[in-house]
Amino acid sequence: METADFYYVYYLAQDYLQYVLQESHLGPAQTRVAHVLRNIASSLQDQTEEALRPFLDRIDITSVAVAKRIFNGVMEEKFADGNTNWGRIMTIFTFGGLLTKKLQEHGVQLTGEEKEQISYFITEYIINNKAEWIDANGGWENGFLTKFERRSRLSFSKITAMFIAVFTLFREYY
Amino acid sequence: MPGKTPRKAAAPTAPAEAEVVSECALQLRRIGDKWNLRQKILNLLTKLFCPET
Repeated sequence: METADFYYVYYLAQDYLQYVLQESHLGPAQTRVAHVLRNIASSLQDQTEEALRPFLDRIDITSVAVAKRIFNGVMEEKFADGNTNWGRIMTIFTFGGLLTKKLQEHGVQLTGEEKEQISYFITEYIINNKAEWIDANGGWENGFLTKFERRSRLSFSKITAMFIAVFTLFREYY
Repeated sequence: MPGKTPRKAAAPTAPAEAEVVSECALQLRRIGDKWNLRQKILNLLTKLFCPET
């Protein structure tokens, strides 16, 4: 029987895939975590696709079973060095999103059932391999949100510009 | 162990696929680590410049 944690992550995976596939009926995210995941998707998903497409274009991903095999293989190697962080956790979702897009490109009909299967194997990986780390690092609400939710209206570029300005001023006098 | 059949090894994947898996894993590791560091710096700068948030 699946646990509450399983369904929590399953919802996140499902919502993320729907968002990446730009499904028209998709409403606003139901949780803050799902909302932040969607926000990150716009930049991190592009980066992931740009870096990985040249490699994934060399093989045929023609079924959900093949996608699952590749997904599990990649995850196993990615975490083989024993390090886990929220950035790497994020790439679990972006890679799942990329594989889903590749399936679509290969002409695989992505019905609700296929999408459920993909969400399921992403969730299965996270629950079986990363749930303990996630719990130990504050969970989704206190760990992930604390790190990734933008609480300030200042953007990264604005903060960086301020930092450079302070640094330049400092250099002028010292 | 007598009477016990050895566990079947996972089906070998084609060399091209194995190579793709390794490359993807390496790239994802880099992207994840970079994103994690970027977020750490962003949070630190936010704390420094906007301590009230």
